[in-house]
Amino acid sequence: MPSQPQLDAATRRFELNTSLRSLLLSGLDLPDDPEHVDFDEPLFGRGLELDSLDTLEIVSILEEEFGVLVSDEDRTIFGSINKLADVIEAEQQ
Amino acid sequence: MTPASPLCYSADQIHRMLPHGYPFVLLDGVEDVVPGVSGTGIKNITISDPVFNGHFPGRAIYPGVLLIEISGHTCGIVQQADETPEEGSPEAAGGAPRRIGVLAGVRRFSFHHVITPGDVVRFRVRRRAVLAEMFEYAVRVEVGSRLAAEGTVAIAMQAEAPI
Repeated sequence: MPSQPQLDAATRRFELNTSLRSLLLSGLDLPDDPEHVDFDEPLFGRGLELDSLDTLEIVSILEEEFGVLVSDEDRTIFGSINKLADVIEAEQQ
Repeated sequence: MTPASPLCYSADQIHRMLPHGYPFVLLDGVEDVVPGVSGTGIKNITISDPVFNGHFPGRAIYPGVLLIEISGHTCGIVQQADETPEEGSPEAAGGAPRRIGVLAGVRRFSFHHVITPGDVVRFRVRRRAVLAEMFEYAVRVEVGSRLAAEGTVAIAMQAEAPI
């Protein structure tokens, strides 16, 4: 059975993912119902089909909403909402 | 505006920096330039502009699509200012091909007030994001204290292709 700190961490992570998903859908003008976008769904390619311009918008959201700066070498973080949240969490710790 | 100032660019300087020719030399000046970060483009709207022959006959309104184009020019100047090597530097002496900004994307542009002859329009641009050679700028188009349009513009910096 998970401990209370583990449950708290899981709750915070779910809230972060949900908040990030809402910001991405509104910032990128995506019509999807938020509930239909899985946290592990690929953002590019056959997932949400984002493009390089959308990447710039994601960089803006990460910096303005979470204070996370993205460098050119960090391209793998754009894989999914969960990967973006990993970076935000690491930055906030 | 002082053309000699490194933070301001005159119409002649802009003409040399951008690849555009008539009738797409649209900016009259750019001031308050913080290279690669922000700046303010200036456009004086005049009834003698040939665009008013058609937009519209008997009711001159400056086209919104040209406001977007001028926003892109302003962003290009601000970004180019970040790349221009100082005179006498090894980079300048090397004669590397210059890079120019090309319009890569436009997002959420909205138009709040018409712009007409006599208006002095300011295009206040501020960089929001950068990734590799792509740069996204937030743009506010103002006439005096009035917000005429706003949105974001993305430009990609690339080597100028020989014509």
